[in-house]
Amino acid sequence: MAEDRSRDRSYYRTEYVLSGRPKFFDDPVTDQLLAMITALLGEVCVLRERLDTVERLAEQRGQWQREDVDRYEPDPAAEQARDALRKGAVARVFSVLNEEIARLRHAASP
Amino acid sequence: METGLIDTDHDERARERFVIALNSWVQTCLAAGSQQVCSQVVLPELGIGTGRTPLSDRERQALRRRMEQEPLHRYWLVMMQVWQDLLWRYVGQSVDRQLPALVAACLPRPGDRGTLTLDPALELPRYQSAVDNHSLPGGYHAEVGDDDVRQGAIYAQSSNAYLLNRTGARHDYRGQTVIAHLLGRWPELATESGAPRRILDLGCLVGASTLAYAEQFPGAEIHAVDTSAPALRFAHGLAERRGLTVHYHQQNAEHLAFADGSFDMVVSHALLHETSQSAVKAILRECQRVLRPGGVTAHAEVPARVEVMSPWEQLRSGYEGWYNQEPFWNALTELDLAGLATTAGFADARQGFQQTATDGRRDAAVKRFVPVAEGTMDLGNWFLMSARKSATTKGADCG
Repeated sequence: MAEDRSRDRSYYRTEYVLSGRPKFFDDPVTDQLLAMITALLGEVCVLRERLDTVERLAEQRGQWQREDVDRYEPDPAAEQARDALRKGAVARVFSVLNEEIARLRHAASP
Repeated sequence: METGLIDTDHDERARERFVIALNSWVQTCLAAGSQQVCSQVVLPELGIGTGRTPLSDRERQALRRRMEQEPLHRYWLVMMQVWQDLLWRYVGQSVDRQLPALVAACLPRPGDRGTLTLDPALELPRYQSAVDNHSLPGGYHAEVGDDDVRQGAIYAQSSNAYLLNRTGARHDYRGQTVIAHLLGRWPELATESGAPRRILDLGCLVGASTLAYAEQFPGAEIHAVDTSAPALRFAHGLAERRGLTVHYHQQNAEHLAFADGSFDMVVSHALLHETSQSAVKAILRECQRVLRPGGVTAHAEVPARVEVMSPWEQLRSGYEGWYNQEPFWNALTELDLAGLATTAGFADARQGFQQTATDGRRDAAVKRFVPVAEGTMDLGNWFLMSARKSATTKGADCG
C-alpha cells in the first residue's frame, strides 16, 4: 500500500516531499479539502462504474432480480471484505492528511 | 501505456478513466476560467497585451503574483496538483500490490535478446537528485527493494492518464515523430544503403520511444541510456516481452561510455527539460563525439516554446517550473537548441515544430516540420531540433 511506502526512507528522497506540496489558498486547509473532495469524487465514480458493470452483467445473464439485492445479508467473510473496502476508501480520501501526518512524524524522527 | 506486464483490475481501470476525466476538466474547463480572469481582469490591470509575445521576466512574475490572488486561478493551481497526485497514488497502489511479480518479470535471464548493464556507482546529476520530477514522490530514481522496478512501472502505467492518451497505446508517438522527421529530412535514411546501423536513445526511461526505433529499423543495433535503474530494469523487461532487441545502459548522457564515432543516429525524447543548461551543452557535445561523420541527431521536446505562447500560456507553462518540480522547464522554453548544436560543432542544425506522427516510416512524407512561430502549444506537434555531423571532421587529415 502507498500509505506504508510513505514510511520508507527512499520515499522522502527530496526536499519537496519533506517540505510538503505548495499551497495556494490563504488557509492551507482549503487546499487539502479540495484534494479530499476530489478524491471522494474518484471513489464515487469508481464505485458507480463497478455497479454499472455488475448491473449490465446481471441483465445480460439474467442471474438475479432487483429484490434479491434488497434482501441480501452478507455472511461474515463478505462483511470482512466490505470492511476492507471501506477502510481503503477512507485512507484514499484522507491520504492528503495521512501524508501530512507521516511527514511530521518523519521530521520529528529523522 | 500497454506493457503486457502490469495487471489492472476493474477498479484500477476505472480510477485511470476517472483521472483522465478529471485531468481533462482541469486542463480545459477550469483552465478556461483562469484564462478568462487573466485576459479580462488581470492583463488590462497590469497593462499587458493578450498577444503571443514573450513577456519579460518582470512582467511574467508580476502576472504570476497577481493571478495567484484570483480564486479561479487558485482553484486551477490546486486542481493541477490534485489530479496529478491522485494519479501517482492510484498507480502507486496498483504497482505496489504486484511489485514482487513485476520485479521477477523484468529480471534479465539467459536467452534474453537484449542486455541490461547497470552501474550502481553512477553518481546522479544534481538536477536529478535534488528534485522529484513531475512531483512524483521518489522521482525517477527511488528504490524500495532489490532489483526494483517500481518507479519505472509507475511512469509506464501513468503515461496515458498523464498525457490524456495523446502519445498512443504504446506511448511511442514521440519516437515515431522523431523518426518521421529524420526520414523526412534525410530520405536516404530510409534506403537500404543509408539505413542507420547503430542507434542511441538518450534518457530512454522505460524505453517507450526506444522500442519505436527497434521496430522501424530492424537491421540496426539499438542502445539506450538513462540514469534511473528502476526505469532501465522495467525497460529491459518490456523490450523482452515485446520481443525486441535493445541494449540498455545506466549512464549519464553528459558522459557517455561509448567510443568516438560509434553511432549513426543519436536521439532523445523529452529528456532535455529534465536536465540543466550546462547539461544540454554537454549532451550535445557528447552527441557530436559519439556520432560518426555524417551521422544525425534529433531531440524532441515538449511543445512549449515561449514564441508561441499567449501570456496565460506562459503561466500554464511556468506552472511546471514554479510549482511542479521541473526547475529547467522555463529556461528550456526560450533556449536556442539549434544554436547550441551549432556551437557543439554540428552542421545544418534546425529547430521547429514537427507534426505528431503515429507511424514514423509511413508518416515521414506527410507530417510537416514548420518554423517555431507556426507551432502550437498542444501534443499535435512536438518541438524538435535536428542536426548532422559534418561528413569530414574539422581539422581531420583528409589527404
